[in-house]
Amino acid sequence: MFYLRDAVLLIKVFWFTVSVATFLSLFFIMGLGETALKDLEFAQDWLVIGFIISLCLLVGRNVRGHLEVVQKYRLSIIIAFVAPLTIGVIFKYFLLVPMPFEGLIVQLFDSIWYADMWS
Amino acid sequence: MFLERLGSFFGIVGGIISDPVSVAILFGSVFLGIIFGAMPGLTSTLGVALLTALTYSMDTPMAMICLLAIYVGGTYGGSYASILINIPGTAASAATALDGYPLACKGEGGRAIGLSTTASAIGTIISMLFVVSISPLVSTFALQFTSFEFFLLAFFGILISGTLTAPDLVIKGWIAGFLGLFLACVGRDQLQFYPRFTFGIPELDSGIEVVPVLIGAFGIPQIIEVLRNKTQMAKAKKLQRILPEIGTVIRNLPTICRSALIGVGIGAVPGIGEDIAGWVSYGTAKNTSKEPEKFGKGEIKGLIASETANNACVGGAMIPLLTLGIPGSPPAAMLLGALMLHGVTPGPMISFEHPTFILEVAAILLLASMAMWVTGMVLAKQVVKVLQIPTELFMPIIGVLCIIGSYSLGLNIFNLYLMLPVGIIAYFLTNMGYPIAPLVIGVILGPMADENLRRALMVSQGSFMPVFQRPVSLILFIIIVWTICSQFRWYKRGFAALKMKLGKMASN
Repeated sequence: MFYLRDAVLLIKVFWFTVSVATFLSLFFIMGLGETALKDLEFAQDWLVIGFIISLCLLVGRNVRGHLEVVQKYRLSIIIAFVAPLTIGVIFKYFLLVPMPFEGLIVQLFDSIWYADMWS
Repeated sequence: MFLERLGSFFGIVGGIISDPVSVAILFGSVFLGIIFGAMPGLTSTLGVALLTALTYSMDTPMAMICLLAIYVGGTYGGSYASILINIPGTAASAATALDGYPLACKGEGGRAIGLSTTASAIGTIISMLFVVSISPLVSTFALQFTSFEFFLLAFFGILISGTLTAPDLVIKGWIAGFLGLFLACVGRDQLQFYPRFTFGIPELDSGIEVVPVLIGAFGIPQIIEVLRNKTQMAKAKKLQRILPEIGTVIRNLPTICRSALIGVGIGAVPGIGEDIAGWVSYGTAKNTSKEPEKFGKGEIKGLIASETANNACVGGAMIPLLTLGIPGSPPAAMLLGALMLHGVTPGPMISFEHPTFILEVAAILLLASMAMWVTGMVLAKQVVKVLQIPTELFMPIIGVLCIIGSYSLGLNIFNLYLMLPVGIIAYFLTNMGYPIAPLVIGVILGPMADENLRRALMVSQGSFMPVFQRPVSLILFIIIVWTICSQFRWYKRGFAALKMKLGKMASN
């Protein structure tokens, strides 16, 4: 987001992130994860993924119509997703560092990495 | 004995060259170091910090090749941005911009890069010679040190680092150093295992982990600073011929040799680092030049002086690191953390525990300088393209590496709880003019100072008299007192008055 260098957009993103983070913090502190969403596996992961998608949609909607900014937005999305995934894969599967919490995304990568189709 | 060591040295060099994996890692790390150095906002210290986590699972010689190569490449890499866009890639290359950028503006950017590459390589090689020749002597001398000497050395290291790196008030440097010392005291003490400042948190019993603190102190402020500053990168000047003329290098050999000596000397002083070496060497070259008015307008000597000294500082910083366990620069502080992770404890006993370690380090420095020269000559134009990438795009990668890197050392999530607050505090301290290098030196040297002081007092039954009875302790004590007193106004006034009086007497 800092790559876009748009102060107005950054403020919108900041307030959106603060409000979602506050909601999620209260949600988990009050133990609602175990009661309201107890039937859903990886409930916390789904909530966080939902937040990330809504953040991307918020920024995408705000940059629409400005070609140069849209190109920067696409590049920053690619970096934001590819960098952690690549580094996480290197540490988990090549350097064999177990992650402290292995949720939905790690389970997905595990199922791909250890799939029978590679043998 | 000398021939034996020479034989071992070339044997180690041959061993590294004959292993394709080592050569690939050497060149790869040098190139990565050059990128880290070239990008404003990334530093060789950060590169060494991040690579420490990645090399954790490697064996020690391979990890040393990686870390030293990125250190050497990172120190040199700062010259690219300095010369081509007048923004120092690292603080070490700030002086390079003064003459490097005017040269680039005249269309001699390629020549400037070529000369800075050659000067950096020669500086590293000269410093390597000092590592090989002086380290065994210092090591032998240090074997006679007792606990008081080690305490005073550690205290002096923290003090001098604070004195020389403080941007405005010296006391800020000292406060940063003592804050580091305080952080080092957290945990159970080494002598009686009494918990100090643990607040009942079991994870703090073993003290504060050095490497996550270093990653936090150098990485987090850098990320915040880069995102805040929004530096607009100017278009880099075009490069023509890069390979320098041999005649120019030979004509400037006296400047190269003098700058290398300055770099080694400054590198050997704890905690200061390459930036001061660059400036001191540049200033010396200007003051001793017959045409000082040419400096700042594209004078080759200025460029060579700065670049030789900052790379010579690499070897200089290794001397106290290997022989006394006291890092000579912030990247050397990171290296110390990495060495401890690999089970190598630098200090006077290193010649006994790892007899060929100093020669291995020297061999790696030699090969890294050659790899840096080859990479600089061949890949300069590609590095220039990388300069155009906005630094903000690197920050997610740096951020993730900081977090996963800190966690992976010990597989302890508490390291993250340490790294993040330390990083945020370090950012605010930097903004308030408190240097981070003394804080880092304090964290690293704190256990050495604490343990040795308490052991010394136990042995002397609470008496400080042995400080004045042993010559090395007494000299260190006098130097410490002088370092403190020299910062006070009454001392400076008295010294200035004395200088004036002596000047008058001499003229009479």
